[in-house]
Amino acid sequence: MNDNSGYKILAVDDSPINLGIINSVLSKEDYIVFTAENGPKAREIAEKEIPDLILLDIMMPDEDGFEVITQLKTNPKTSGIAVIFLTGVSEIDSKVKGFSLGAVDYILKPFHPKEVLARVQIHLKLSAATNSLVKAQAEKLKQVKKAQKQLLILPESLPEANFGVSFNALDEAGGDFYDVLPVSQNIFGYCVADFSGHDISTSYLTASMKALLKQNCTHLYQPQESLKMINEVLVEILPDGKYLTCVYARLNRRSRQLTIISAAHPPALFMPKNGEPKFIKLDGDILGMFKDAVFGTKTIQVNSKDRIFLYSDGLIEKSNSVWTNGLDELLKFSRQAQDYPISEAPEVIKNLMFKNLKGPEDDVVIVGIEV
Amino acid sequence: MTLKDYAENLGLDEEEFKELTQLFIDTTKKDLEKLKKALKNQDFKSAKEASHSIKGASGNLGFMEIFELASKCEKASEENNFELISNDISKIETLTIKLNELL
Repeated sequence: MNDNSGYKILAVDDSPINLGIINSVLSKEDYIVFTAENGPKAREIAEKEIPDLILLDIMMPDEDGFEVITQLKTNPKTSGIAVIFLTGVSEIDSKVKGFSLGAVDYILKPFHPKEVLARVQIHLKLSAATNSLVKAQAEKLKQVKKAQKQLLILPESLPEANFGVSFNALDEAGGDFYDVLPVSQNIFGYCVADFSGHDISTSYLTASMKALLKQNCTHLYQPQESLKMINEVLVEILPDGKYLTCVYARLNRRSRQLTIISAAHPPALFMPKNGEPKFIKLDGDILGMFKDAVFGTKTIQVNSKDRIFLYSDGLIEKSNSVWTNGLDELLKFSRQAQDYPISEAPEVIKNLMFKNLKGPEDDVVIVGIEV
Repeated sequence: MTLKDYAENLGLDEEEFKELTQLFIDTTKKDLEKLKKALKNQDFKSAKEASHSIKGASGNLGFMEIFELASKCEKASEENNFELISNDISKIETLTIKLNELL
């Protein structure tokens, strides 16, 4: 059995004899061979068959090999196909030009059929290795997404915190983050943060953020102090240009005191059970950029069944609306979601916010808290 | 050398090689006609194309004598020098006829 079956090779040469030689040596090894005697035909076959490799003669009348490869490389369908040039010994300059246009190798003419076979095999192996590298990296990214999800606490694993969440990561390594942590028996911390950028380092940083919250949001510290310490560490560890916005709510369920602190994050929404909902607008610097950052904070008295919603800007920033429209919509839809239990309310709000769109265009997280 | 020897050198079957040789003879006849006409008209571009075509095919099939002669013709066309070409053309013709006899 031969494992070459399935690989497609396109040979392009104006000489039918050369095509015949290439065809016969490659067919014998079970490659699927296509031949073209000129550039336009070659491009037509390349687009239709997407061969694994193209053997391309340079010297052809009308459309020469350079023109053919240039067109192949500018067509998204064919730009990824490896091209090996067939070139005469006297055409030294053309080898250099061939490489600069994206060829992976050249074969000197007159060629020996066995050399053609050997080069074809080497380059197929190389592209197979590259493809598997790409697949392996994609696989790793999927693992990152999984790990990132595992970092996120679910309402059922901390029922005492009485919260609900809607979390949508747009790509493999999203920039949104939330966490809920027990500070003491009756005090809970709720955090929503949004890192600039969506890449692997962002994902690594969400893990760091979780650890920092755990270390710093303890019974001993007030939210101001916690965030200040977290900021100082982040200034040290964040790469240049990387920062985050963050809102942290600390709820004492016994004294019914709620403290909100914001680092340039969209305003938290406070929905008293009896009364008009309102946004808690706070000024504050971003997190992780300046050592002496200042964060806006506010403490309010809350009552049983009051609700607080923390969310990321993806919820209110939609391409077809402005920020303030997003806030108005959020106010409206959170009222509509009032009769749903807190475990479902965030998802209901998200669906209402995006009902006329295909879905969120950015990462979106909503954390709903009920006193 | 027999056609079988040529075929073995290239790692091809004899039958396949015979087919390619027949194709070579047919195309070379056309190229030689083109070359003669180009010589008559002092058309260096056509002469270069025709000799390049013979050169490429003969080289890859291992017909090295023809390859050398066609290379000379191609070079001479590039240099716009037709003096020696007609002699080479008839040599190529003779060799092609000999090839035909081997089939």
